[in-house]
Amino acid sequence: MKSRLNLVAPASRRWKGPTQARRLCHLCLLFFLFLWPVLAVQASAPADEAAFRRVSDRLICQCGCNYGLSNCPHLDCPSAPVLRQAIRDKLAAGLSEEQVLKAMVADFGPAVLGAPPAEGFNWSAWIMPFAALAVGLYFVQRVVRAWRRRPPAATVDPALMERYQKSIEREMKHLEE
Amino acid sequence: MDSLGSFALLLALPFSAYAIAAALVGHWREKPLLRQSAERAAVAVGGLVIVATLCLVVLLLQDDFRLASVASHSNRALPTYFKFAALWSGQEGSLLFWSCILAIYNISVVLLNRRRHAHLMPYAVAVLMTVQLFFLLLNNFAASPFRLLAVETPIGPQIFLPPDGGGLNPLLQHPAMVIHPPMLYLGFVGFTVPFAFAFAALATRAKGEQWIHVTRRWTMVTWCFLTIGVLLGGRWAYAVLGWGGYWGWDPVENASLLPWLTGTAFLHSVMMQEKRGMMKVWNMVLIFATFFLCIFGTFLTRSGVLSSVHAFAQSPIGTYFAVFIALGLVGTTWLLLQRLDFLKSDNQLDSLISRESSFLFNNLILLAACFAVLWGTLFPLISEAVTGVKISVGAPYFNKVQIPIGLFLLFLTGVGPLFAWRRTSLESLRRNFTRPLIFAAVVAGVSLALGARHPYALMAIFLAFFVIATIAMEFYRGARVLRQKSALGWAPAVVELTRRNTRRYGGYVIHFGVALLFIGFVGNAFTIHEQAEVAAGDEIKAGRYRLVVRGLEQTENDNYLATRAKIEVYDGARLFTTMYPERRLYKASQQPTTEVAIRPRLNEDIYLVYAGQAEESGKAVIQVYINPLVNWVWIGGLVMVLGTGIALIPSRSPEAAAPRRRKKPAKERDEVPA
Repeated sequence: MKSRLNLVAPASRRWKGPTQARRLCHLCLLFFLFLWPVLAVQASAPADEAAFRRVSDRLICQCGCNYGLSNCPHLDCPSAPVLRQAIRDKLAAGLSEEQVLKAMVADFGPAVLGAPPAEGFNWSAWIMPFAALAVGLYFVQRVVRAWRRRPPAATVDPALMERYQKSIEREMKHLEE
Repeated sequence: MDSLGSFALLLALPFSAYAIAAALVGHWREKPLLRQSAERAAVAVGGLVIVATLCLVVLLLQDDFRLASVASHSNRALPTYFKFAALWSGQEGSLLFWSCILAIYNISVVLLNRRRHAHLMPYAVAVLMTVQLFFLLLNNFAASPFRLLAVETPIGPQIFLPPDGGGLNPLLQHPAMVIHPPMLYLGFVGFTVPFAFAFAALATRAKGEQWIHVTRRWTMVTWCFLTIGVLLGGRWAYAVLGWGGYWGWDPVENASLLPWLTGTAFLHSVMMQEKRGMMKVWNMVLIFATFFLCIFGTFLTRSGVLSSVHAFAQSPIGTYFAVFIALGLVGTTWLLLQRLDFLKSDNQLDSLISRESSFLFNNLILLAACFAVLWGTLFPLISEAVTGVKISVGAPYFNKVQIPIGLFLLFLTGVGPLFAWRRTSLESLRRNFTRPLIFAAVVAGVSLALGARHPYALMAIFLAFFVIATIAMEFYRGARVLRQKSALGWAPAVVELTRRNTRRYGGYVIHFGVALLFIGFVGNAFTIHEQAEVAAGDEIKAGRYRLVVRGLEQTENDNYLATRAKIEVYDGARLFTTMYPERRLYKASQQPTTEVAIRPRLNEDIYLVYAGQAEESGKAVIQVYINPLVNWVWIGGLVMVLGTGIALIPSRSPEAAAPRRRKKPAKERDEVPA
C-alpha cells in the first residue's frame, strides 16, 4: 500500500470549482465590507502640514519621555512646543525636510533624532541586529548539518516496524471508509 | 502595623538563608528531614512576606502618612481602589509586591511538587529562595516600605506625620493600573519557577523528560500572564497617555517585551525536546535568558538608568541588580558548561522541510527580534560610553528594524504548523498552502486596488490572512474527519477536535490571535491626526468626520478640577456621537493630566485629546486621531489568552470521548443529516 502522502487527494478534498470559489468570494466580500472604510480614508493634510508631521515623526521630544515629537505624552511639556515651532519656522523659511532635520541636529544636538544617524559608530545600531541574525543563520546551518550527519539514535526492530506499518494501514483504511 | 510588617520582612531573611542551606545540605548528605525542613522554611518565608505586604496595604488604606511610602504615593481623597494600587506605584511597594508574588509562587511550587518531583525540589527550593533572599535584601536594606518619615529636632530625630500625602501619580489613576502591574509582575516573577526547575534538572542530571513538562506548563501560565500584562500596558498607554498610540518603543515597554520574546521561543523549541529529544542545550539557554531578562526588566523599570515615561520610581538600587545578574549569569553558565554531555540531542534531523527546521527558524527570528530590541534599548548608553555623544533611539529606529523581522515571524506562524515532524513532502506542501496563498493574495490584491499603498501594510495583510486561512483549513480538515466518523455538527466537531488535542488546537488559536494582532498593527499605517485651536461652535475636519465643539464645562471633586469639552461628531450630515475629552488638575500633586475620549469601533476608533489652552488665543487645543483597526490588537490579545487557556487544559483521549458517542444508537446517528 502506498503511503498517505503519495495518495491522490480524495474527491471530497479536491477543489470544487464554482462552489469553493463562491465561498472564497463571500469571505472576501465580508472582509472588504469591514475594511473598506479604513482603506478608503486616506490622510488629506495640506502639503506644509504633512511635511511638518513627517519631520516631527523623525524627531524625539527632549523632555525625557523618550517618545516621538508628535507623540510626547506630557502636558505642558517644556520641550515639545519649542521644537515644533522651530520645525515650522524652518519649513516656512523654505528649507527642505532633510535640511530641516540637519538644522534641528545643529540647533539641538544629535539626541533630537529618533533614530541614530547612519554614520561612524552609529552604523552599529543598524548593522548589529541583522549581523546577529546572520550569525544566528550560520549557527543554525551548522546545527542542521551536524544533526543531518548524526546516525539515527537506535535501529528499529523490523518485526516491530512491520507491526506499526500494519497498524497505520488499518487506521488509514478505517479513516478512508 | 508597620512594626509587624518590618519584623516579618526581617524574619523572612534568615528563614530564606536557612531554606537554601537546608535544601542543599539535605540533598548532598541525603537527609530527607532536612530537605523537608527547607520546604517548610520556604512556606514560612512566603507567609511572612504575605503578612508584610498585607500590613502595607492596611497602612495605605488607613492613610498612615508617617510612612514615607504611603505619604509619597497616596492621599486622603484618593479612591480606595487606587489606594490599593498605590502598593505597586512606588519603588518600595513595588519591590515588596515582587517579593509577595514570588512568595505565593514559592508556596504553590512546594505544595504542588514536593511529592511529584521530590528529586528536583532541593535545588528548585534553593534557587527560588536565593531569588527571594535577593529581593528581601532590597526590601529590608535598600528600599524599605516601612521607613518612617522623620524630622530633625533639638532633641533628635522625631517621627513626622504630614496632614496629607503627596498623592498617586495622576497617570497611574486609571483602572488598567489596578490590573496591569499585577499581571506583568505575575509574568515577570513567574519565570523564576521554570528557571528553578530547569536549574534543578541540570544540577541533578534529571532522567527523563518529566521536568520539561513541569517547566513547560509553568512557562505557559507565566507567559499568559506576561501577555496580558503587556497588552494591558498598551491599553493603559492608549487610554491615558493621550498620544493616540499604544506602543512607543519606550525602554520600559521594551523591557516587558524581551522576556516575552525569549519565553515564546522557549515554548516552541521545548516541543522539539519533548517530541524528538533535540535542542536541550538551547532550551536551557532560553529559559535562563528569559529569567535574567525579567530581572533586567525590573532593573530597567526601577533603577532609572534609562529615561522613560513609565519609570515611576527611581533609586540607586541598580548596583544590587547588576551584582545579582552578574553572579547569576556566571553561575548558570558554569553549570550549563559542566552539563553539556547531559544535554546531547537524541535524534537526527531527517529533512530541512520539517517542523523541526521551522522551529529552528522561529527561534532564530524570535531571538533576533529580542536582540534588536535589547540593542536598540541599550544603544544610547553604549553610544554615549563609546563616543561621548548622547543620541536617542526611538520609534523610527525600532519600526525600521522590527517590522521586517515581525513580518517574517508572521510568515513562519503560517507555515510552521503545517510542516510535519521529521519531513514534509512537496505534495503535502502544495495541498496545505495553495488555497491559503490564493486567499491571501486575493485579499492583498483587493486591498491594493482599494488604495492601500503602504508596502509593509500590504505584506502584513497578505501574511495575516494567509495565517488565518491555514488555521481555518486545519480546523476544517480535522472537524471533517470527525464528522465522517460521527454525527457531530460542525461546531461540536471543532470543539471535540480541540478537546482531543488541546495543545495543538490551543496553539492554533494563539496563532489566530497573533494574526488579528497584526491586522490591528496594519491600522497604524492609515492613522489620521488633526490638531486645532477651537472655541464653541468651531469645527474640525478629520477624515470623513466633522467635529463640532459645543462648549467647555468645568467640574470638580475632592481629587481633581476638570475642564471638559463637549464635541459632537458628524459622519456626513448624521450626528454619529458626542464625546467629552477632559483635562484635569490633580489637587494633591498639582499635576495636570488629560482624559482622552475614545469612541471604539471594530473598524476604527475616534480618539479625542484635550491637549490644553493656546497661550495667545486662549482657545482649547483639541487633537483628533482616527485610529483604524486598533481594537483588533486587544481582540487578538484576548484570543491569544483564550488559546493559552485551551492549551493548558489536558487533552481528552478519543477513548474517553467514545462512550458518550456510543450512547446514541448507530441507526439514529445515520439518520442525522450531515
